[in-house]
Amino acid sequence: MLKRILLFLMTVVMTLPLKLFADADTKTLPLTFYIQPVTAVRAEGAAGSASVELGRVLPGVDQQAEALKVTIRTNSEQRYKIFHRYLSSITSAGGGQMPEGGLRFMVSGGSAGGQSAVQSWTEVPEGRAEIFNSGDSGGADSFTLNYLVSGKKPLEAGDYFGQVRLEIEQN
Amino acid sequence: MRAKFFLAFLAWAVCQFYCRPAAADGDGVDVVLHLSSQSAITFTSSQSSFNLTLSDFAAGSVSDTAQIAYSVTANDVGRIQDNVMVRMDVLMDGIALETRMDSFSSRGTQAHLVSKGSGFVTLNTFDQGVADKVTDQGDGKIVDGDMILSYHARAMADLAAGQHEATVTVTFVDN
Repeated sequence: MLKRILLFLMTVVMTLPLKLFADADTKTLPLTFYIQPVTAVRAEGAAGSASVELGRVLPGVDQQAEALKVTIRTNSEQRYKIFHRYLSSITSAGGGQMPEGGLRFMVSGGSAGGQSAVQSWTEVPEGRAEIFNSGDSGGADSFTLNYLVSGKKPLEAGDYFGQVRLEIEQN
Repeated sequence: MRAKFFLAFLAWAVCQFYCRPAAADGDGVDVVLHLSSQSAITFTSSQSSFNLTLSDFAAGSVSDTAQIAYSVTANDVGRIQDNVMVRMDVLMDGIALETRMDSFSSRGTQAHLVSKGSGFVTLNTFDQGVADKVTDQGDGKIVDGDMILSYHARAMADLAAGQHEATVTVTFVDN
């Protein structure tokens, strides 16, 4: 009986298709990478963060702030504009407010051909203001944004904070 | 099959919101602005000296009046009384020097100064208040404007002819 069983097993093993142990099967999958067009703006003050120290202001004395370096990175050739707008107006904890016309700004030309839309000291408007235009073919660029606090209108003593946003708009 | 398709669609949709490169969100940057406004007083006078002439020597005589303009700009004025103080360095025998704030023309909107009382104040060698602050808006800590002080001398006794000199000191006090 045992001999019959062994003979049967040997027969089964020998008749198994050899393909199961040898040969190879290949599948080809198409793969597509999408790299999104990205244009990003970065702002850096003297301290290395996105903040500007407007300084210690005295009545009657104009105070120029440290420069804010603005850098635009992009992998597209689309033209773009940079806009400036207040997120929160400049106020003190005690309720003091920056008087109208108290803050002015000026923007330099771009290091890679972009153009300033604010070439001389101009009152910072409450709303959205265009401050920079890219070159004809877009591209990375950088420029300097300067602020000036006017001493003509006295400002109540205290610490003041405000927040602005620099926005990119692609044409 | 439907369930698999739905799950694949869901995964794609979630990716559109959460799997984009960080820079793709960079369509703007927020910048903090900070400044520190120093507490300051700028107080100036239109003249460095003035003269008063008594045309009569009898007791009770009053000299001509000198009006002196002062400009004040202050940004931390918490005090509401005796903001303008006046004194003289020496008292003159038989002569009283008197002053009064005549007017205040404000350049700001927060506060202005008013005369302390309606009459003239006789000056002494210690500070005496001649003007108080009135708040018009907010906490009134900014006082910005031009003030006129009038001065005249009064003979307290019969006076011999001559010349007397004194120094008048006007102080603006914010706190």
